[in-house]
Amino acid sequence: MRLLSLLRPLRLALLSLGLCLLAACGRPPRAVTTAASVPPPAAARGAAPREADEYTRYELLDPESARFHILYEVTATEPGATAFFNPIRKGSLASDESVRDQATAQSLPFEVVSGAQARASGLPDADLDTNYIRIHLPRQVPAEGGVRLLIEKTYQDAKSYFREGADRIVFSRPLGIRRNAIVLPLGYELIGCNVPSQVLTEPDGRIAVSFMHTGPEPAPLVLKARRLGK
Amino acid sequence: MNGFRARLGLLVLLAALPTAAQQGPSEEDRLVQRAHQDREIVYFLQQPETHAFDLYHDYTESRPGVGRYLNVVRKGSAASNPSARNLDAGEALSVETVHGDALAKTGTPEDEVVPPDAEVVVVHFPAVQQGRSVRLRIAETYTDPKSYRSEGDELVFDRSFGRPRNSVVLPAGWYLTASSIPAMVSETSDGRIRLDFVNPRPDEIAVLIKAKRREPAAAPAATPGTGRGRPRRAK
Repeated sequence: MRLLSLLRPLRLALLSLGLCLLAACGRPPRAVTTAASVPPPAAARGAAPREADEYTRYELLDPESARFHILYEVTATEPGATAFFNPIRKGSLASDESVRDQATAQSLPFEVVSGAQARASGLPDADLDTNYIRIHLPRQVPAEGGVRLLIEKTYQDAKSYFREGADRIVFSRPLGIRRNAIVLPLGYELIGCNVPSQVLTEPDGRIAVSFMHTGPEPAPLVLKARRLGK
Repeated sequence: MNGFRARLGLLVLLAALPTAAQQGPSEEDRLVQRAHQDREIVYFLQQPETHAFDLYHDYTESRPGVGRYLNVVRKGSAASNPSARNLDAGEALSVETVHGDALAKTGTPEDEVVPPDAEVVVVHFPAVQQGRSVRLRIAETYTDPKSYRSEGDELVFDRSFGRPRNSVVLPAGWYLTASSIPAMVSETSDGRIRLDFVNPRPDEIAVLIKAKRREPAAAPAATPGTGRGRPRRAK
């Protein structure tokens, strides 16, 4: 009896070790996630970020067109993911989309899908009222790594980019990305910017405004420029 | 063993150096509440060939018994046209410019350490009474070819700012082409470009601003029937 009581802690330790081994064997390794697998909902994932290192460059085009070209750098970081979804902002008309793998400079296939299609194909928390660019990644996102993308598109959005008077333009847009640059059309000078920004001149003479935003809400950017007299 | 002794000797030597020389600002200086600091400076650049800029500097004095403010002119800058106002009362204050060595004879414990060869603008005001304070505005013109100059067709304003809030207004007729430090940009009522810098950190910012001259505005096209304006030449 006394011997049994002495062995009890040893039995408990062995039982714990066995349970741990069983659990480890039963857990699917992350690396086997397949192309067809659907990422679990954000809540189940502990809201792990799907992307990192975002930077956006807006190039304002002809003010009459209300169009601006966007170059969006982003790293897909969800391990095992084989698709990446980039929302198309409501109110903006997108065109001229292209996607490149920054590591290889290879163009990547993509298509524009509805929110419902995004939900069904890899983005379970997609907004049903939003369209997305669904990008086919060239390889699974590695654990402890990422797939660096350059997404280009042109938006037409007269609410964000418009003329004010004869010689002024306004770019007014809340920007949620932390790192941004806005390039004025050639021949325009900066006369207003409500978000503290660096001001730089591009090699072709265009004025660029660049800022890093650290606040919790999107930066409520209002940028004004005036055509330089010739 | 000799190497060890040499390293040990170096460590002892480093330890013997004054703390300030090793670490820069004191802990006390570094742990001040930046958001409550009340100094701000606005610079108004004159045309760059003058190397001159007007500035005003607002400051609240709240130390009981203090009745003068010393503005030590930065080395390399020359100050002129000093003036001062009590912003609480809207009254002009008396101002004099003295050298540091002359000041040393009349210095008070509240005064900052002034190098003997420094140029100092001294603002006099009724001594602050216990529990009260006074808001001061000191205005002057600095000339500093190193900080403010022309380079080709650009003006360059290159100066470090230590205060939490600083602003720079470009001269009339110039547009902004570069600012190394993030600034808010706006247009003054008379069409000059103003940059507002906010530095929440207890350090200095190395501001580098560049600007170019705007082309003169084109003459308005002739308006039929008014007789005003001339048709522009085709370019």
